[in-house]
Amino acid sequence: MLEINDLSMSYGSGTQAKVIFRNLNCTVERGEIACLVGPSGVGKSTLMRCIAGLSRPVAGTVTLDGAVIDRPHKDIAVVFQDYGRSLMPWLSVLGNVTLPLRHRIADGGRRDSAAEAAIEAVGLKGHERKYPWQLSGGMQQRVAIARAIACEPRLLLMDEPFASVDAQTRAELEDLTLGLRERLGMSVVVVTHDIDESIYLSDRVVVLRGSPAEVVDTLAVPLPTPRDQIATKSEPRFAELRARVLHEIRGERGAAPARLSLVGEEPLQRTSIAGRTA
Amino acid sequence: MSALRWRGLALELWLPALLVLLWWLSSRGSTSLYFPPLAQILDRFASDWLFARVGSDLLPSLRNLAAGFAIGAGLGVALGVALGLSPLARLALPLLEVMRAVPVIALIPLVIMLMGTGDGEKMAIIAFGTLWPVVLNTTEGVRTIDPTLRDAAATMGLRKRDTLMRVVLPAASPQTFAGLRLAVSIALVATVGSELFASTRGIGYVILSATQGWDMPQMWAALIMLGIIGYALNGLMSLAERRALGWHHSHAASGFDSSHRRKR
Repeated sequence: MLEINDLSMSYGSGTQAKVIFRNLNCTVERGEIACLVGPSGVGKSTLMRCIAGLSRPVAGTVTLDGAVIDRPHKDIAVVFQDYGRSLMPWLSVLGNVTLPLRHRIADGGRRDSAAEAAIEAVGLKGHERKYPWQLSGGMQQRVAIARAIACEPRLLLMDEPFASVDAQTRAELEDLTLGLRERLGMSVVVVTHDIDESIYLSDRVVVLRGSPAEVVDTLAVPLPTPRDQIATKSEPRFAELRARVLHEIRGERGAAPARLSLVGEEPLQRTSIAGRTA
Repeated sequence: MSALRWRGLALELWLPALLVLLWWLSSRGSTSLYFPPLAQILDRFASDWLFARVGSDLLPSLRNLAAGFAIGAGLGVALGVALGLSPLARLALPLLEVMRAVPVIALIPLVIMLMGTGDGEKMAIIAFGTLWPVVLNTTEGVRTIDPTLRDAAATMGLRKRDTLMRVVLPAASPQTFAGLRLAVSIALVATVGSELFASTRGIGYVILSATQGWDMPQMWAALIMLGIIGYALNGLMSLAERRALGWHHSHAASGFDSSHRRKR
């Protein structure tokens, strides 16, 4: 279980200090997918860096199953937005995925087969010997995901993981993420600015807003699993949740109910068609 | 070798071949002491460098060059990585620039005083000339590694050795190689320069003693040998670069290079 307790972060000091967030609290249960949503610049990525142990908070703690995270942890893997910058262009796909295993699995043969299993899990079997720059953006991000899951992390952090790929690829990668969580049972925290994506992926959506940022809402997403790009997104509850998150991000909580019903009704008919086929 | 490679070779060689031909024709009947006929020079080249002086002068020069270059490059990469990773890099850069700007030839008298005359002294001079461009470029290469790449390496919890060998050095290698390329030509200058002072063998010594004995064909033959060495070294560098940086050129061609390196 990931626990964020009274976490505060600021840059600079004294009167010049820029407070990013103050006394932030939230929890992500084991095996749960949580999305952090909020307007850009709200501090989602800073929070992500704190959870990853890349930045030290000025106060408060991040704990994973009780252990305080104040530096990168072996059970936390990170997928960055920029696959073009987080993969090593001098290493093949296999070399990239093997890299974090070098100090975990001493035996070279076992290390390679663990990496190959991860590569197969993200659907890149047959591309092991290629280099990242020979692959499309979506495939490169799959390599980054394979590298992350190869370590069998308890917590997978994804920072705007699908922001740089096209819509079709994004949908595929979302489903890949859901499938991997199902198979491997790790907790997943996804930072995204895409509200649809946050609801589609999540068991729980954490909405951040303001400066300094605060958690304005934590919504459970009671949509049925496994999720389906068409059926799930056509559910009236999906539209309700979407409207609620949107209003919260905009800070229009008061205006929410009226528009909520409007948005909520329209997809009803589509649900009855797509919902059964799915 | 493919037709394309032959074509490339032909494109590279037609101008030198033409110039040699012009030299041959224009110097044919020359009676000048300083510019003897090319035929005479080539005769001398064949008898000196194929193979009378190979063991006595060519190999010692090449050995000093190789050893000095290896020492300078090794120290340069090590020092460059250490500086690039340390927050002191910015402070050290001006000093490094000064050190690089000192013409290595100017240090020869001092090094002779400190180390005497011999191979050690010559290697030291060559190593010194090699060192600074490699340090400077490697420092810069390490300093400008993309922060995302550093974060990725950090979150993977890599051992220091893996971080160094598989992340930092390869990421800086395009810059390191740029430094090595500069260093090769400086090393050749330093090799010849070191042989012009208090020396009894080597290509530089041959040039000096030939000139002092008014044996101009021998001097010209030695100069041709130097040209060939320089050309061969450059070829070796390109080969090494192609092997080590194949990923870099393809990566750059695929359009990711600008994002891969942090802007200063």
